[in-house]
Amino acid sequence: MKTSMELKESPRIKEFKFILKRIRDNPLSIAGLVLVTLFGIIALMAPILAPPIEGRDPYVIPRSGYYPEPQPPSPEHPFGTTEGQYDLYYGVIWGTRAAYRIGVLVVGVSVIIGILVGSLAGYYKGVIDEILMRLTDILLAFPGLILAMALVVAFGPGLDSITLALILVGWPGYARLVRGEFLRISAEDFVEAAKSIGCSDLRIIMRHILPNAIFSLLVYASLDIGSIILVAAALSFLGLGPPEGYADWGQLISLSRNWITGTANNPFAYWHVYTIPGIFLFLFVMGWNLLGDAFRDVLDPMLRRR
Amino acid sequence: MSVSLRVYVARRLLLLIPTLIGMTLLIFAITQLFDPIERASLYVTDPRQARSVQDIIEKYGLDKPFYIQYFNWLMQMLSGNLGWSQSLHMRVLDAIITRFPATAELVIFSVPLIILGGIFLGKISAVKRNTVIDHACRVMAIIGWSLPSFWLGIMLLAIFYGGLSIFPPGRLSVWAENLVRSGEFKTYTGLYTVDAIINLNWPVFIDAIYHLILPVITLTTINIALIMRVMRSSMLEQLGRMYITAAKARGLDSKTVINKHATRNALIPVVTLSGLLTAGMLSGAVITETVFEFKGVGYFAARAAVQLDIPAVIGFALFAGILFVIANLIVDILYAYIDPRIRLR
Repeated sequence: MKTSMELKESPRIKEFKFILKRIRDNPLSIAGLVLVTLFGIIALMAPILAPPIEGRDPYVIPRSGYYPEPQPPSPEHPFGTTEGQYDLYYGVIWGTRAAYRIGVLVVGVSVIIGILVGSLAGYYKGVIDEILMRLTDILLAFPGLILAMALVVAFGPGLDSITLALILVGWPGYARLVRGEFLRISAEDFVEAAKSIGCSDLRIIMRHILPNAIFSLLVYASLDIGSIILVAAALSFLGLGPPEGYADWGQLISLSRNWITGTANNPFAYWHVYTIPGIFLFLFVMGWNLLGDAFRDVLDPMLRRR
Repeated sequence: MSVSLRVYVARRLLLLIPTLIGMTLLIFAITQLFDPIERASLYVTDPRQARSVQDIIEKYGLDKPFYIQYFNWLMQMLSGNLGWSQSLHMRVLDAIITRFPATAELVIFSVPLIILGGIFLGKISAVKRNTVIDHACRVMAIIGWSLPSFWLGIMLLAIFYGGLSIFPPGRLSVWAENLVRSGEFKTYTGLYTVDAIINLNWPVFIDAIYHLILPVITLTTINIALIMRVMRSSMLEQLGRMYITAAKARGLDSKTVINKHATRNALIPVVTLSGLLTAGMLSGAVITETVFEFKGVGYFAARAAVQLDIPAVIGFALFAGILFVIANLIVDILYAYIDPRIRLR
């Protein structure tokens, strides 16, 4: 029994090695991988890179005073301070952790809902499929940002509301993808064979269909994280995010809006206030987009072996 | 119109009914998250009514089962009563109507740049595949696609408005704003550029364009990558087809083959995307208008959302949803017209 399992696993390991090789060969993919890893390290090491004050919510940025005018970078504040003397360095470091938290939470929950709904619809077809897919049709018949905005207003502004709204807006895409994969894979001979020897539905779904649908999900999810973070930051920028002082890139960019004109003799006196949080957000999104793009090139059977 | 196209259009129009019902049900479901007193504001058309909230709750059955409430609400929406906006001090429908031209102006200037620019870049990227031009286009596309629109807007404002004192935010300069509001200037469409041309008022026209430049650059940079990517892969697919080889074998020069044969077929998926992109611009407008204080529907919606002006947000979501559904319909019909194979599905 064990040897047959190993035999079955081996093509997947080969596939994985092939993917790694293709990613290694493309400089853009490597750039994506490096960025995503770098931000991952920043997120994990946040308590060491920017130690929070004992007994306080670490996501709340410490402030030195209440003076509105941002201060330039100094030894005490390596990236300077933004409006209201919030330390920018602390903000962008913990902002990375906050971004990862939202991205992973939204994608994770969306994937779970998507697999549940998509496999029900794609495996059992018929009425269940019809009802579930019409539901996704309705949710997808909206521009995502606007639906998310209305939901956040309904739930009350804040990061939890944004997360919940993004899950509600995001899962239909995953459900559609999983359903499509299920329809395609159910028609394969090996599923028929598994049915004929009396495998249970659960076993067929979990052991035979789902593992074959994983790669498409991976591509979709990696391309999705960038846009999820963009929409989350945009909602926060609009003022629907957490209360002021929270380590959140969207809010930090929003705080810079009053300082784009600089002072009389130096128009770019407050350059750090709008440049630094924006670069973090931009590079994070670009890293994920590059990685997702690399996955797609590698995994798309139409493009892969050219 | 051929018979098959007519059948297709009829079927597509019929499908519109369940989609619209589903969409209104969804928005209605969102309104159910508010308590009856907050919901009552959706039915108010005049601030004086606010004193009698209890009457409104009773009149529209806001404490009744949801299907009765849905029906009442839908009837209100159909009669054009989208409620009273606290943040703007006017009826939501009027607010949308008066603010829409500004957004339309932004979209009208950005969309052709996005579509034509995207097609052009995608095409040369495909024709010159794996050259420096192709790599440059692809890198630019990834950058554009990853840039947060609000940050790009702020950076542009910081450089041009803050640094060089040109391209200020807003829709018009103060003098032009006063002129437009005065009796001398007749408003026809609400699009300042068009109205200025009709009024033969060139200073206002130039001022309007001057204020459009940065928001249009922002919207174009963010969205051009989408069209470019689709055009590139579609063009590559066409260039690999047998009919291209056949055309070349017949001795046609490659310019004719690329322009007359491949490009035409490659454009088909771009049509779909362009329609959806245009409808989706409303999302982009929310952010871009907020950054540039460009007072269109998006600016209004964002303001309303922050002030928890529920009727305005719900009304805007409904408006955006309907616009999106209509755009989808137009795209599908156009698609069936261009590509007869679609009608048979």
